[in-house]
Amino acid sequence: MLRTRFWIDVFIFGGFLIALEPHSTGTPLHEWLTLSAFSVLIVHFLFHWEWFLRTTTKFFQNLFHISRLNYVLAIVVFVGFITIITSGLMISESVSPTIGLYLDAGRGWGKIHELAANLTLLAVALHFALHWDWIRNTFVKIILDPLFGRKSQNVVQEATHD
Amino acid sequence: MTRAVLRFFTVLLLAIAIGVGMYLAMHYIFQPLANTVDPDTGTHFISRNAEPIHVPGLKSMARGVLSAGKNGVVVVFVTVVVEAGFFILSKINKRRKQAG
Repeated sequence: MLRTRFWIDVFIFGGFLIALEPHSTGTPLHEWLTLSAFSVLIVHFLFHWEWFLRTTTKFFQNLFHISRLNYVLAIVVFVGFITIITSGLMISESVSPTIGLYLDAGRGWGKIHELAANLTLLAVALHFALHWDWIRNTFVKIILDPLFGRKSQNVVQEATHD
Repeated sequence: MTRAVLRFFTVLLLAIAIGVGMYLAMHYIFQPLANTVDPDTGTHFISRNAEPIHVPGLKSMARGVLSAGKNGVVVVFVTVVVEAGFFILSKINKRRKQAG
């Protein structure tokens, strides 16, 4: 399970960094990649479902705990992605026509798309930073330890515990 | 398994509801408001990048890879700042404990 979660996170993170730059992929791939990354993001979210419900019910009990910051940040990232997808669909040149959606974009969606992408990048960076210990320990446990034939002594703990 | 699928669709439904909410808010509130306040501005999205980006050539591909790298640098920068912050906080707490 740890291995699956790690590789899903690597896929989302790498995909997000690449998808943020349409110049690196071209517009159609940029749009489809972001859309697929969002569905994988939901899977990432589901892995933390129990933690999310637990923190929701106890949010105000220990307000200044690091997990509360993680919680708020998770919501910001989620809403940020929804904003990126919604505004992206409105100005889409590939996905929307493919699924038969011809939307009257109106004004503002392009700027919202750019702003949401930049702010979500910051939120994702902060999310990454707050989980650095988990990322480092998991990387050592599932990649470096088998690579060098070491028996893992690394206990990987959730960064999002209460 | 069924529970996981159910949860997946719950989150997806929530995402769609928020997205539709955004669309309706823009369509019925913010865009009419913007059209009233500033009717002269065009409705087209003006990209920072003037050139078309449909087919990535070698040059734009290289620039794209650099841009993706730039996003990586943002992540590394934020991580270093946050870790340095945690390190300093832990040192301060340690000194406080020793003094106390």
